[in-house]
Parts: sequence; C-alpha cells; structure tokens
Amino acid sequence: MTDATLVKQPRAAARPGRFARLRRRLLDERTRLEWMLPAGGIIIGLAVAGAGLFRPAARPTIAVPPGYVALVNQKGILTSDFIAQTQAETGVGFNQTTQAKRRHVLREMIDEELLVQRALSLDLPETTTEVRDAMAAAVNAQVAAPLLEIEPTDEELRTFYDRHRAKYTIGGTMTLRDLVMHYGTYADADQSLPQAESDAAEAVYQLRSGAAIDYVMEHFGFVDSGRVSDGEELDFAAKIHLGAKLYPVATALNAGQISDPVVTADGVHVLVMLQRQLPRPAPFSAVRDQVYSDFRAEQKQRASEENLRILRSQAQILLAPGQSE
Amino acid sequence: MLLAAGGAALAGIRHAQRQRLATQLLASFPDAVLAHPSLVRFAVAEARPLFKANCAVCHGENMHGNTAIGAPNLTDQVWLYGDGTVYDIERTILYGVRTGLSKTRNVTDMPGYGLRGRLTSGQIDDVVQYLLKLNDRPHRAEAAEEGRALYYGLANCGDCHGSDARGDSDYGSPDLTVNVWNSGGDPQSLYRSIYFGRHRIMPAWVGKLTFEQIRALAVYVYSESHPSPSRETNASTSQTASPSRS
Amino acid sequence: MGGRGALALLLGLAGWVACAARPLSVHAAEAGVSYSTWIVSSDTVMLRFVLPAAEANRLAGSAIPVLTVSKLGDYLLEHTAVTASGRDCPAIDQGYDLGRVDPVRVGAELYGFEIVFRCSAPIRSLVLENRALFDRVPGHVDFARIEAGRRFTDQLFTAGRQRVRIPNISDAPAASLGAYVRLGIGHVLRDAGRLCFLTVALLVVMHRPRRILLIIAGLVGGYAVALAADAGGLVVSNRALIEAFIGCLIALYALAAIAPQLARPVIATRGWPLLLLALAIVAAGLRAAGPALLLAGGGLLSAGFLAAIRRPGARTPGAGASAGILLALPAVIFGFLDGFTLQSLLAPLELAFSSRVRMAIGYDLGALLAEAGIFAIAAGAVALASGFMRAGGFGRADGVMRSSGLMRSSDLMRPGDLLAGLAVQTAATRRTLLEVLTAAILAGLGTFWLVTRLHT
Repeated sequence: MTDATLVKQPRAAARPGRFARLRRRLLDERTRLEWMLPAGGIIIGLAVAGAGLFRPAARPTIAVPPGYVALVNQKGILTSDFIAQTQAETGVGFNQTTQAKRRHVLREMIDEELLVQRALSLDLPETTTEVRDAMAAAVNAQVAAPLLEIEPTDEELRTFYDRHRAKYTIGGTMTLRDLVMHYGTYADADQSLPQAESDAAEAVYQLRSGAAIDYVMEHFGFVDSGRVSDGEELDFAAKIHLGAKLYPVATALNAGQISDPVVTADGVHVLVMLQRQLPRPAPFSAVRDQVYSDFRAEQKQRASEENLRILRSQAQILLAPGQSE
Repeated sequence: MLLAAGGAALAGIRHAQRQRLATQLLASFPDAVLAHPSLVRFAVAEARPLFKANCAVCHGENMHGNTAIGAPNLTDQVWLYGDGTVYDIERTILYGVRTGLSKTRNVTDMPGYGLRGRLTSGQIDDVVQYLLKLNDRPHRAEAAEEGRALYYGLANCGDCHGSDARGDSDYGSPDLTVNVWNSGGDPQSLYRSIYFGRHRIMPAWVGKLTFEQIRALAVYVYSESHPSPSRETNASTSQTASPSRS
Repeated sequence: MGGRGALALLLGLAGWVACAARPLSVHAAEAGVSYSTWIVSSDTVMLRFVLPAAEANRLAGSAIPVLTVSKLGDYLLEHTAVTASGRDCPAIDQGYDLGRVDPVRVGAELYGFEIVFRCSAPIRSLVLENRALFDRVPGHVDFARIEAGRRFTDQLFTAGRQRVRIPNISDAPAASLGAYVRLGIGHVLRDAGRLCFLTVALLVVMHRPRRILLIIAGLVGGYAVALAADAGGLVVSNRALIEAFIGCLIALYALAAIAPQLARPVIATRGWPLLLLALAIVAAGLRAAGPALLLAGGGLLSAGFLAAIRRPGARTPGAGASAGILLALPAVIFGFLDGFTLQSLLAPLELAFSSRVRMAIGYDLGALLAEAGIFAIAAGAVALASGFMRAGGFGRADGVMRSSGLMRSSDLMRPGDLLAGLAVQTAATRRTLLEVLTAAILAGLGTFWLVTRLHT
C-alpha cells in the first residue's frame, strides 16, 4: 500500500467502488512489485518444494478390479487363471462346472496366494534351496525359450558331434577281481601296513608268474572285496563300484593283467583284469538322438551364460577381502 | 469459449463412456462379452490398432498367418490350442506358447524324426504320402500305406495326433485331417516338419499389454474368425461356446 | 574492520557452527522407535516385532557383540514375554529350521521377527511384556498394536511402561491420549532442530511480543492443515527431506532477522535464494529429483518471503500489519511439516489415517504445548530481563560494526557498550549484537542441516 492511498479523501468526493479500488490496487505497478511477485514466489516455491517432499498415499483397493475374481492382500487372482485352474481340476469346460466346485477352486487359489505371500514374507527365496532352484530354473527356461524355436540342421548336429566325439562312445566293459588284504583291524591286529604292502607285492609277483588266484588269496590272506564280484560290468558301473582311486587303475589294465598293490583306507588292493572290452567311438547315426539332446542342452547353457553375463554387467558385486571368484 | 466448453464436455463424456465399456469388458467372463454387441464393437475398435502394432508382424494384417515362420491363420476356426473361445484365445495371448513361463502353452513338441535318426528319409516320405491321403490330396497309394503303418507303428504319431489323426487341442497337437498347416502343407514342407520337428513359440503378452488390451485382442481375433451372425446366439447359450471345427 | 572482513567473520562463524554441529547431529534427531503387533487367538499370542535397522544398530557392540539376524532374534526373545492368568506362556518352536524366533521380511531397512507364545486356553488376564532396547535407549518407544479377532487397539511400550495388562481380551485397553501428548512434548524438547526453529522464531518477533501469538497461531494452523492433508492421503516421500527443509526454514527466519541490520540487505535477500537455486541445479545435475525440487522450492519461497517482509526503511522484518502476518508463514510451514512426524514414524505399520487419528491429535497437541510453553517461558524471561535492564540503567547502544560497512552504523552498539549490547536491546527497531550473532549461528546451523540432510 502506498502513502498516497492512505491519504483520506473528502467524503463528498465520488469514491470508486470496492471492486474498482481492489482492481486498481492490483494493477498498480508498485503493488505488483511489492506483493504480487513475492507472493507468486512463495506460492510457487511451496508448490515445488511440496512436490519434492510429499506424494499421494497409495490407497488400498477396496473393490476387486475388473478382470480379477479375487483380491488377496491387494494381490489379484486373474479370472483367466481361475478358469484355467477350474478346468484343469475338473477336466471339463468351465461352463460345465458347478458353483460348488468353482467355490472350492477359488478357495484353493486364495489359500495358495496366501501361502505364496507368506513365503515372500518369510523370505524363502533367501533361505530355502528348493525355492531358489525353482526361481533360477524359471529364469533359465525363459531365456532359453527363443533359442529353442529354431531346429538345428543336420550339419549343425554333425559339427557338434565332431566337436564332442570323445563323449559319444559305446561303453566299455570289464570283468575283474578286486583282492584286498586288510590290516590293522581287530581281526588283523598283527598285520601292519608295511607288512601288508610287502605281502601284496609278493602276491602280485606270484600272480604275474601264473599262480592261481585262489591259491594266492589263501596263501597271503587276501579276500575278495565284493565290489565287482558279479561278473561283467559296464565301465560306468565299475567306476561307481571301485571308487575314484581304484577305477583309473582298472581302466589301465588289459585282459589278463594284474595291477600293482594299491593302498586305500580299507586295505591293500590288487586288481586282476579277467576280461576287458575298451570303449569305442559310436557312429553319428547311432547317437544322433543323444547328440540332439546334448545340442539343445548346450544351447540352453549358452543362453543362461549370456543372460548371466548381462546380469553381471548390470550388477554391483562386492567381494570381501581375501575372496575371489 | 462455448465451443471449447462444448468440446471439453464431449471429450469428457466420450472418456467416461470408454471407461465404462473398458470396465465391462474386463468384468465379464471372457466369452460372456460376445453376448453384448456394444462390448464387441468396443473391443474390436480398441484391438485393431493393437493387433496391427503387435501381432500383424507374424500373423499378417489380415490374420492369415505366415507359414514361413509357423504363424497360424487366425481366421480359419482351426485352433492349435483350445477350442477357439475368447477364453482360449486370451489364455494364449496372456502366456504365449513355449515361452518358458509355467502357465504357457507347452505340453507337446513335434520331434525331429529325421534329425534324431528315428525315421529314415524314405520313411518320412511315406508318412508324408499318408498325410496327403488323409486330406484327399494326390498321393502315392503304396507309399501312403507304408506311411500309415509307420504312423501307428514305429513313429507312434497317434500318441499325440490321435488314432483318428484329428489331433488334440488340449495338448497343441494339430488336426492332420483338415488340410490346415501352420508351417506349410506342400509335401516338401511336410517332409521338413517331420524331419526337423517344430518348436514354434509365441511371446507372452502379460506385462507387455494391459489385461484390457489382451481381452480386447482376444475378442477381436474371435470376431474375425467367426464372421457368422450366429455368433451372438452361441455366446448367449454357452459361456464358453465352442466353434465348430472345419 | 572492513566490509570484507566482517563478511569473512560471519562466514567463518557459520562454518564453525557447521563443523561444531556435525558430531552433534547430521541426521535429524532420530526417534528410537520399534513396532510390535500382538495377535491374540484362542491359545496363542503371536508377536510380530519390527525394528528399524538404525535402532538395531544401537544394540551392536553392547547387547549384541556382532549384529546378526539370529542374535537380534535371540535378544528379542529374551526381552519379550507373555503371561496369561499369572502363568508364563513359553515361546514355541515353529518347526523346520525356524526355531522359536522366525525372521520375516518386512521391508527395506527393517528387521522383522515373529514369536509365537503358547498359553493355556482359554486366555484370560493377559500381560504383554516388552523390555527390548529400553535399557540401551531410554527414550525408545514401541508402537504396539494388539489384535484379538477383528478388534484391535493401539498401545505404547516405553521405558516407564514395559508391561501392558489386558484383563479382558475382548476389550483390550488402548494407550491414553495423554501418552501421545507426552510423546509429542518429548519429540519437541529432544530435537535440536525444533528447538533451534523456536529460538529463531522468537528472535524474529521478540521486539513485538504480541507476534508470538501470531507464530503460535501459525503453528496451530500448520498442524491442523497437516492433519487434513494426512486424512486426504498425502504422505511424506522421504523423512530426511522434511528435516532438511526445517533446516531451510531455520535459516530463512534467521536471515529475516539479520537482513534489516545489513548495510546491503540484498546479500541475504537475494544471495540466499540464489544459493539455494544454484544448489538445486547441482542436485538436478546429480539426478536427485527430490532434493532438487526441495531446493528450488526453498529458493523461490525464500526470495518471495524475504522480499515481502522487507519494507523500505524498516529495521525489523515484518514492519506493517500485512508483512507482520507474513512472518507467521514459516511457522505455518514448520507446523505443517512437523505434523507429519507421527505419520512418518508409523509408516512401517501402514495404518490408515482413521486408525491413527487419535494418536496424531494427541501427538500434535503435545508438540504444540511444548512449543507454546517454550515461547511463554522465553517471553517471560525477556520481559524480566528488560525490566532488569531498565532498572539497572543499561542504555541503548549503537552498532559495533558501523565502520565495517556491512552493518548499518546506527543499528548496533558501540564497542564500549558491548557488554550492555550483549544483554538486551530495548529499542523495538534495533537488534543487539547477541541477537545478530545468534541469528548468524542459527543461519549457519540451518544451512548445515539443509545441505547435510539432503546429502545423507
């Protein structure tokens, strides 16, 4: 308000109306500068700051949105999923199902949703291996899906076969005896390891010289381990039965050969190879079904690795001191 | 001023009307929509540009499909999955085919009989002749007979396609008797399908389109494949009306 | 002392305040809160305990040597109990590998646990006990919710009230309104930011004591609008931004007090808003949308406010009736922002406004009472001191820095009258050196809080 406006006017003079005075005052340049600009600054400033400070609250939905049959803790159950589940459970079209059956299915779906929400609340993806495995597998399945659309050609399968030829073999077989001399147990308390090794070396010498197995066993106190005593074994079966230490020794033997003594936790072993059929390469035509499966598996593996490469490029991964990948 | 106010009011009314229809479209059970011509018109109007933008690249603007990529014709009332109801179409649009999602359409796969060495080239050719015979097309009778034996014997095609070769849309195994072939029906294409197998995918649109858009697309595809005026009668009598298969 | 020297002095003072204040509180005074929900069924009481990570960290190193979820769960198990009809209700093993304390995911920066107490049915005369954190943090408050069937009531666990007795399950008592009033009072008295704001508001109006009423009216209006906005569905995006903006308001009031004393008031009236706008540009460059909006809004608000209250020739802000009313604006804004404190505190419980309206009214009432009480005490002290000065013959003093060129030569006291000037200036239009220094310190502190809280 300027000083001029404060000067009292003679009562008799024609005074402009209240609206006119307000209008004049608002249009007065000085008033504008003194009040309107600061007021504008304040209002705009409050609005701008308010936009940074506040946001509208997410209002809970109190009605089931269209397209859903139920809302469980604000999480919807799709009508389409409900129909699919009802049809799957009853084995008939949805319009043929009874109201009671539909209610039953809906109840089950709500229960399932509650359990899933509870699982998330319990942070099961963090703590439960099965949940983690399922989640990881689901992601891998999705990333692999586009790759699997394109069927491979014969040439691609052949190339894959050539690249992994060693993998495609017709399995070898072996028939052998596994003789073992125990030591240090209650029954063999007087038998020390050095003594057992010495006896085994002598036994090997005799076996290689043509002594009968039964004679050597009886003479030196060997027993059959029983691991491979049921006749011919496929290589993979022998590997399982003999274990990591004895199997490589066995695969190095040809028919009629006797191994050197091998010390394991349960005694000193001597392997006698009776018959041996070595693994041989399988022709492409014989294994193309397996080649196809392996080709697909490799495609899935590649898709997963590519996906992980992208995820890693976007992730922040910090390793504790002393740790490395 | 008046014009502007009138325009704004009109726009407001149209918006409110659209919202009402959109809500009704989703609130109804999928096939119940067909009983309301206004909803169908609304869905078609909404879906047409969506189809053009998202689906036409594979299925073609006229929905006639593309055998080169195995995209089926959507107007012929022959359905690989489901019975062609709005619900079935919507389900396929929602979760796609072989997308890796557990709700996707993915029960069967056409194995590559030649690729995996289960049938020889000659045997595959025989099966092709049998398929031609099933569809009353020119074929070599002797080879077709061999093919028939393979169909029920070594190849065990009937396990998926049925002993009558009419397929099973619950599993996505196509009807081999209606002469509708997603990946081509000429002998060479049939040979390739058997030799290499088929593993076509369709993307899932859940999360990419809204539920309203997906429902509208389903109604649109349904209406394009059922141009007959009896559509509404079907819908009113059955909630999940099944179209007759050609 | 030249003008630059005086400016350097003020800047240095502000810097020192910032440095000195840093260890005190970069963050706003964080309320020590936790949340517990006690769900009573026929023979069990399920406790769901939610603890903010910041609060849990207070246990690290003392109650819990190394903070792990498991150890925290064990701590809560030891510090909570339920008895029914005088008999202990043991916590039961929840099966699988969960044990007696089941960690649950309840949100970012929050620890959640569930404990199930089994009582002999039917449950009668229940006593809920929560001793967690009170021995470590005496001001800690646990906002509790007791549910029985579809009925629920709110309760508070504090250091002085660690047990809640429920004689009748179907009619569990709620915490009294007085409890929330006390919380509101404590919130103002314990928070340095609130106290600084009240101090600087007093400073602005102390030469016109009636305007204290205006400030109080502004605060009441602010709290009322906040309640209405809360009911209307407005929520705080980020608590730190609110606290930062309170720092901005402190600085704004302080500058309003100082500006008329300056030979060149534009240093304050334009410099401060420009500084905020420059910071807003920096924040926008860093893609911090919230801080950028806050700074830009603060800049515009400051420019408008400082221009509006400045009248030509006036030596105190708000000379003139209209401009005087405007002085209440920061108080309104402060009241509005502070009115959202309880809402922010209760955010993890996601209660609807209707469920916490009684708590909010009590809490805001307590805050208002504390603020009005502070004003009343301060006004009384000023009145007493003024009377004492007049009786003691302390005269009016002139400016000590008149030669500096920064301050008006006639505004402040002479160097010789420094002692007198540091006491109380009775002339309504002039400020003492003590007032100017206080305002400068508060301006520095407000700026410090604004920047650091935005940064953190």
